[in-house]
Amino acid sequence: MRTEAAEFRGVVERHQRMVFSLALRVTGEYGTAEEVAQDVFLELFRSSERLSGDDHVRFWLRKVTVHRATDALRRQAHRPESHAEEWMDDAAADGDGGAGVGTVLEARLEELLGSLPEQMRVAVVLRYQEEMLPDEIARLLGQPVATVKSNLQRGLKLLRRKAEITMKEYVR
Amino acid sequence: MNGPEEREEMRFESEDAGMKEFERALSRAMQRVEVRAETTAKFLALAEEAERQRVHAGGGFRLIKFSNAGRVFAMPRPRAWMGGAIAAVLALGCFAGAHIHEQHERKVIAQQQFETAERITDETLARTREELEQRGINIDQQ
Repeated sequence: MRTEAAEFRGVVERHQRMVFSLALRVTGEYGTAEEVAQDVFLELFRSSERLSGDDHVRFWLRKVTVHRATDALRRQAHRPESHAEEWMDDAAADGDGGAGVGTVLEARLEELLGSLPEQMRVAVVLRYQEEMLPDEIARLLGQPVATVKSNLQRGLKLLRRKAEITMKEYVR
Repeated sequence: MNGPEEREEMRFESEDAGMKEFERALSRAMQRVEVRAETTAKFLALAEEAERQRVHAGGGFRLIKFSNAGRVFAMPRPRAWMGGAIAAVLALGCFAGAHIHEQHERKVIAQQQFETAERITDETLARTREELEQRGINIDQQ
Protein backbone atom coordinates (compact mmCIF):
# COMPACT_ATOMS: atom_id res chain seq x y z
CA MET A 1 0.00 0.00 0.00
CA ARG A 2 1.66 3.20 -1.14
CA THR A 3 0.39 5.94 1.10
CA GLU A 4 0.18 9.18 -0.77
CA ALA A 5 -0.10 12.44 1.13
CA ALA A 6 -3.89 12.58 1.01
CA GLU A 7 -4.28 8.96 1.98
CA PHE A 8 -1.73 9.36 4.71
CA ARG A 9 -3.60 12.39 5.99
CA GLY A 10 -6.70 10.23 6.20
CA VAL A 11 -4.82 7.60 8.21
CA VAL A 12 -3.52 10.27 10.57
CA GLU A 13 -6.97 11.76 11.04
CA ARG A 14 -8.53 8.34 11.66
CA HIS A 15 -5.96 7.10 14.13
CA GLN A 16 -4.44 10.16 15.79
CA ARG A 17 -6.69 9.96 18.87
CA MET A 18 -5.75 6.33 19.43
CA VAL A 19 -2.02 6.90 18.91
CA PHE A 20 -1.91 10.09 20.92
CA SER A 21 -4.04 8.75 23.80
CA LEU A 22 -1.91 5.61 24.08
CA ALA A 23 1.29 7.66 24.04
CA LEU A 24 -0.09 10.14 26.54
CA ARG A 25 -1.31 7.53 29.03
CA VAL A 26 1.91 5.54 28.86
CA THR A 27 4.31 8.49 29.05
CA GLY A 28 2.17 10.78 31.21
CA GLU A 29 3.49 13.89 29.44
CA TYR A 30 1.79 15.84 26.69
CA GLY A 31 4.96 16.98 24.91
CA THR A 32 6.52 13.53 25.02
CA ALA A 33 3.28 12.02 23.74
CA GLU A 34 3.28 14.48 20.85
CA GLU A 35 6.86 13.51 20.00
CA VAL A 36 6.06 9.82 20.22
CA ALA A 37 2.98 10.22 18.02
CA GLN A 38 4.96 12.19 15.43
CA ASP A 39 7.64 9.51 15.35
CA VAL A 40 5.02 6.80 14.99
CA PHE A 41 3.29 8.53 12.09
CA LEU A 42 6.58 9.22 10.38
CA GLU A 43 7.52 5.57 10.75
CA LEU A 44 4.11 4.63 9.38
CA PHE A 45 4.81 6.84 6.39
CA ARG A 46 8.07 5.02 5.80
CA SER A 47 6.56 1.58 6.38
CA SER A 48 3.30 2.09 4.55
CA GLU A 49 4.39 -0.04 1.60
CA ARG A 50 4.52 -3.06 3.90
CA LEU A 51 1.16 -2.43 5.57
CA SER A 52 -2.12 -3.56 4.11
CA GLY A 53 -5.62 -3.05 5.42
CA ASP A 54 -6.94 -0.92 8.23
CA ASP A 55 -6.75 -3.71 10.84
CA HIS A 56 -3.10 -4.23 10.02
CA VAL A 57 -2.45 -0.49 10.24
CA ARG A 58 -4.27 -0.27 13.60
CA PHE A 59 -2.38 -3.25 15.03
CA TRP A 60 0.91 -1.82 13.78
CA LEU A 61 0.13 1.64 15.19
CA ARG A 62 -0.77 0.27 18.62
CA LYS A 63 2.33 -1.90 18.74
CA VAL A 64 4.77 0.77 17.62
CA THR A 65 3.16 3.43 19.81
CA VAL A 66 3.42 1.25 22.92
CA HIS A 67 7.05 0.44 22.17
CA ARG A 68 7.98 4.03 21.43
CA ALA A 69 6.11 5.32 24.45
CA THR A 70 7.72 2.83 26.83
CA ASP A 71 11.13 3.70 25.37
CA ALA A 72 10.39 7.38 25.99
CA LEU A 73 9.24 6.56 29.51
CA ARG A 74 12.50 4.75 30.25
CA ARG A 75 14.51 7.67 28.91
CA GLN A 76 12.85 10.04 31.32
CA ALA A 77 15.16 10.46 34.28
CA HIS A 78 12.35 11.24 36.66
CA ARG A 79 9.04 9.61 37.20
CA PRO A 80 6.57 11.22 34.80
CA GLU A 81 4.47 13.88 36.35
CA SER A 82 0.95 13.40 35.33
CA HIS A 83 -0.77 16.35 33.79
CA ALA A 84 -4.07 14.55 33.63
CA GLU A 85 -6.18 17.45 34.81
CA GLU A 86 -4.53 19.80 32.35
CA TRP A 87 -5.15 17.68 29.30
CA MET A 88 -8.53 16.45 30.43
CA ASP A 89 -9.57 20.09 30.74
CA ASP A 90 -8.16 20.79 27.29
CA ALA A 91 -10.01 17.84 25.85
CA ALA A 92 -13.24 19.06 27.39
CA ALA A 93 -12.62 22.59 26.15
CA ASP A 94 -11.89 21.33 22.64
CA GLY A 95 -15.34 20.05 22.10
CA ASP A 96 -17.43 17.01 22.76
CA GLY A 97 -14.93 15.32 25.09
CA GLY A 98 -17.32 12.42 25.56
CA ALA A 99 -19.57 11.51 28.42
CA GLY A 100 -17.91 11.82 31.77
CA VAL A 101 -14.58 13.12 30.46
CA GLY A 102 -13.28 15.97 32.56
CA THR A 103 -14.83 14.81 35.78
CA VAL A 104 -12.73 14.85 38.90
CA LEU A 105 -13.00 11.08 39.30
CA GLU A 106 -11.68 10.42 35.84
CA ALA A 107 -8.90 12.96 36.15
CA ARG A 108 -7.87 11.32 39.43
CA LEU A 109 -7.85 7.90 37.81
CA GLU A 110 -5.68 9.27 35.04
CA GLU A 111 -3.27 10.63 37.63
CA LEU A 112 -3.19 7.35 39.50
CA LEU A 113 -2.62 5.46 36.26
CA GLY A 114 0.65 7.37 35.91
CA SER A 115 1.83 5.91 39.20
CA LEU A 116 1.49 2.29 38.05
CA PRO A 117 4.61 0.34 37.05
CA GLU A 118 5.21 0.38 33.29
CA GLN A 119 4.03 -3.13 32.37
CA MET A 120 0.86 -2.84 34.43
CA ARG A 121 0.15 0.61 33.04
CA VAL A 122 0.52 -0.57 29.44
CA ALA A 123 -1.76 -3.55 30.04
CA VAL A 124 -4.40 -1.41 31.77
CA VAL A 125 -4.32 1.23 29.03
CA LEU A 126 -4.69 -1.35 26.27
CA ARG A 127 -7.49 -3.11 28.16
CA TYR A 128 -9.56 -0.11 29.23
CA GLN A 129 -8.74 2.50 26.63
CA GLU A 130 -8.48 0.24 23.59
CA GLU A 131 -10.87 -2.39 24.95
CA MET A 132 -8.54 -5.14 23.88
CA LEU A 133 -8.88 -8.63 25.31
CA PRO A 134 -5.96 -10.15 27.23
CA ASP A 135 -5.02 -12.48 24.35
CA GLU A 136 -5.01 -9.55 21.92
CA ILE A 137 -2.81 -7.58 24.30
CA ALA A 138 -0.52 -10.59 24.64
CA ARG A 139 -0.17 -10.82 20.86
CA LEU A 140 0.52 -7.11 20.58
CA LEU A 141 3.14 -7.08 23.32
CA GLY A 142 4.62 -10.47 22.47
CA GLN A 143 3.99 -11.67 26.03
CA PRO A 144 2.30 -14.80 27.40
CA VAL A 145 -1.41 -14.34 28.08
CA ALA A 146 -0.84 -15.31 31.72
CA THR A 147 1.62 -12.44 32.12
CA VAL A 148 -0.84 -9.98 30.64
CA LYS A 149 -3.65 -11.25 32.87
CA SER A 150 -1.42 -11.02 35.91
CA ASN A 151 -0.36 -7.47 35.04
CA LEU A 152 -3.98 -6.48 34.48
CA GLN A 153 -5.16 -7.99 37.72
CA ARG A 154 -2.34 -6.54 39.79
CA GLY A 155 -2.58 -3.18 38.06
CA LEU A 156 -6.31 -3.01 38.64
CA LYS A 157 -5.99 -3.94 42.30
CA LEU A 158 -3.20 -1.44 42.85
CA LEU A 159 -5.13 1.29 41.07
CA ARG A 160 -8.25 0.59 43.09
CA ARG A 161 -6.35 0.56 46.35
CA LYS A 162 -4.71 3.89 45.52
CA ALA A 163 -8.06 5.28 44.42
CA GLU A 164 -9.70 4.21 47.68
CA ILE A 165 -6.99 5.84 49.70
CA THR A 166 -6.80 9.10 47.79
CA MET A 167 -10.42 9.69 46.89
CA LYS A 168 -12.71 7.90 49.25
CA GLU A 169 -15.51 10.24 48.42
CA TYR A 170 -15.65 9.00 44.82
CA VAL A 171 -15.14 5.27 45.14
CA ARG A 172 -17.33 2.93 47.06
CA MET B 1 -10.25 -5.42 18.49
CA ASN B 2 -12.89 -2.81 18.91
CA GLY B 3 -11.71 0.72 19.06
CA PRO B 4 -13.58 3.19 21.21
CA GLU B 5 -15.34 4.48 18.09
CA GLU B 6 -17.29 1.27 18.08
CA ARG B 7 -17.61 1.11 21.87
CA GLU B 8 -20.24 -1.28 23.01
CA GLU B 9 -20.89 -2.23 26.59
CA MET B 10 -17.54 -3.62 27.66
CA ARG B 11 -17.50 -6.95 29.44
CA PHE B 12 -15.78 -7.08 32.79
CA GLU B 13 -14.48 -10.34 34.09
CA SER B 14 -14.33 -9.44 37.76
CA GLU B 15 -16.77 -11.32 39.92
CA ASP B 16 -16.48 -8.82 42.74
CA ALA B 17 -19.25 -6.25 42.28
CA GLY B 18 -17.12 -3.44 43.70
CA MET B 19 -14.27 -4.24 41.32
CA LYS B 20 -16.69 -4.44 38.41
CA GLU B 21 -17.98 -0.98 39.28
CA PHE B 22 -14.41 0.27 39.51
CA GLU B 23 -13.66 -1.24 36.10
CA ARG B 24 -16.66 0.62 34.66
CA ALA B 25 -15.39 3.90 36.11
CA LEU B 26 -11.94 3.20 34.73
CA SER B 27 -13.31 2.37 31.31
CA ARG B 28 -15.27 5.63 31.26
CA ALA B 29 -12.21 7.55 32.42
CA MET B 30 -10.01 6.02 29.78
CA GLN B 31 -11.76 7.14 26.66
CA ARG B 32 -9.41 8.35 23.99
CA VAL B 33 -8.56 11.99 24.52
CA GLU B 34 -9.27 14.65 21.95
CA VAL B 35 -6.15 15.80 20.18
CA ARG B 36 -5.55 19.53 20.28
CA ALA B 37 -5.97 21.28 16.96
CA GLU B 38 -2.33 22.41 16.91
CA THR B 39 -1.18 18.84 17.57
CA THR B 40 -3.25 17.57 14.65
CA ALA B 41 -1.76 20.36 12.53
CA LYS B 42 1.73 19.18 13.53
CA PHE B 43 0.97 15.59 12.49
CA LEU B 44 -0.46 16.71 9.16
CA ALA B 45 2.40 19.11 8.51
CA LEU B 46 4.80 16.27 9.21
CA ALA B 47 3.02 14.10 6.67
CA GLU B 48 3.04 16.86 4.07
CA GLU B 49 6.68 17.67 4.66
CA ALA B 50 7.58 13.99 4.46
CA GLU B 51 5.65 13.60 1.23
CA ARG B 52 7.21 16.78 -0.21
CA GLN B 53 10.68 15.51 0.65
CA ARG B 54 9.91 12.11 -0.82
CA VAL B 55 8.64 13.58 -4.08
CA HIS B 56 11.50 16.08 -4.23
CA ALA B 57 14.03 13.32 -3.68
CA GLY B 58 12.38 11.13 -6.30
CA GLY B 59 12.01 8.38 -3.75
CA GLY B 60 15.77 8.12 -3.57
CA PHE B 61 15.99 9.45 -0.06
CA ARG B 62 14.85 8.21 3.27
CA LEU B 63 13.26 10.58 5.71
CA ILE B 64 14.81 11.51 8.99
CA LYS B 65 13.08 13.46 11.74
CA PHE B 66 15.18 15.29 14.28
CA SER B 67 13.30 15.15 17.54
CA ASN B 68 13.93 18.68 18.75
CA ALA B 69 13.05 20.59 15.66
CA GLY B 70 10.32 18.24 14.51
CA ARG B 71 11.43 18.82 10.93
CA VAL B 72 11.96 16.19 8.30
CA PHE B 73 15.17 15.81 6.35
CA ALA B 74 16.03 13.59 3.43
CA MET B 75 18.98 11.23 3.55
CA PRO B 76 20.11 9.09 0.60
CA ARG B 77 18.21 5.81 0.49
CA PRO B 78 20.49 2.77 -0.01
CA ARG B 79 20.53 1.61 -3.65
CA ALA B 80 21.75 -1.64 -5.18
CA TRP B 81 24.59 0.06 -7.02
CA MET B 82 25.77 1.68 -3.79
CA GLY B 83 26.96 -1.73 -2.58
CA GLY B 84 29.14 -2.14 -5.69
CA ALA B 85 30.46 1.39 -5.37
CA ILE B 86 31.34 0.86 -1.70
CA ALA B 87 33.03 -2.46 -2.56
CA ALA B 88 35.03 -0.75 -5.35
CA VAL B 89 36.13 2.04 -3.02
CA LEU B 90 37.13 -0.50 -0.39
CA ALA B 91 39.07 -2.55 -2.98
CA LEU B 92 40.82 0.60 -4.21
CA GLY B 93 41.58 1.53 -0.63
CA CYS B 94 43.02 -1.93 0.04
CA PHE B 95 45.14 -1.73 -3.12
CA ALA B 96 46.42 1.75 -2.25
CA GLY B 97 47.06 0.61 1.31
CA ALA B 98 49.03 -2.42 0.10
CA HIS B 99 51.03 -0.22 -2.27
CA ILE B 100 51.88 2.26 0.48
CA HIS B 101 52.78 -0.59 2.81
CA GLU B 102 55.07 -2.12 0.18
CA GLN B 103 56.82 1.22 -0.41
CA HIS B 104 57.31 1.62 3.31
CA GLU B 105 58.79 -1.89 3.57
CA ARG B 106 61.21 -1.13 0.74
CA LYS B 107 62.25 2.09 2.40
CA VAL B 108 62.90 0.29 5.70
CA ILE B 109 64.95 -2.43 3.93
CA ALA B 110 66.99 0.20 2.01
CA GLN B 111 67.62 2.07 5.25
CA GLN B 112 68.75 -1.14 6.95
CA GLN B 113 71.04 -1.98 4.01
CA PHE B 114 72.54 1.51 4.10
CA GLU B 115 73.16 1.28 7.86
CA THR B 116 74.75 -2.16 7.45
CA ALA B 117 77.04 -0.87 4.67
CA GLU B 118 77.95 2.15 6.78
CA ARG B 119 78.75 -0.05 9.76
CA ILE B 120 80.94 -2.41 7.64
CA THR B 121 82.79 0.57 6.13
CA ASP B 122 83.38 2.06 9.60
CA GLU B 123 84.66 -1.27 10.93
CA THR B 124 86.96 -1.77 7.92
CA LEU B 125 88.34 1.74 8.26
CA ALA B 126 88.93 1.23 11.98
CA ARG B 127 90.69 -2.07 11.36
CA THR B 128 92.89 -0.56 8.63
CA ARG B 129 93.77 2.37 10.91
CA GLU B 130 94.69 -0.07 13.66
CA GLU B 131 96.95 -2.14 11.32
CA LEU B 132 98.67 0.97 10.02
CA GLU B 133 99.25 2.25 13.53
CA GLN B 134 100.81 -1.09 14.43
CA ARG B 135 103.26 -0.46 11.58
CA GLY B 136 103.99 3.01 12.91
CA ILE B 137 101.92 4.90 10.37
CA ASN B 138 99.48 7.45 11.67
CA ILE B 139 96.91 8.39 9.02
CA ASP B 140 95.64 11.40 10.89
CA GLN B 141 99.11 13.01 10.94
CA GLN B 142 99.65 12.61 7.21
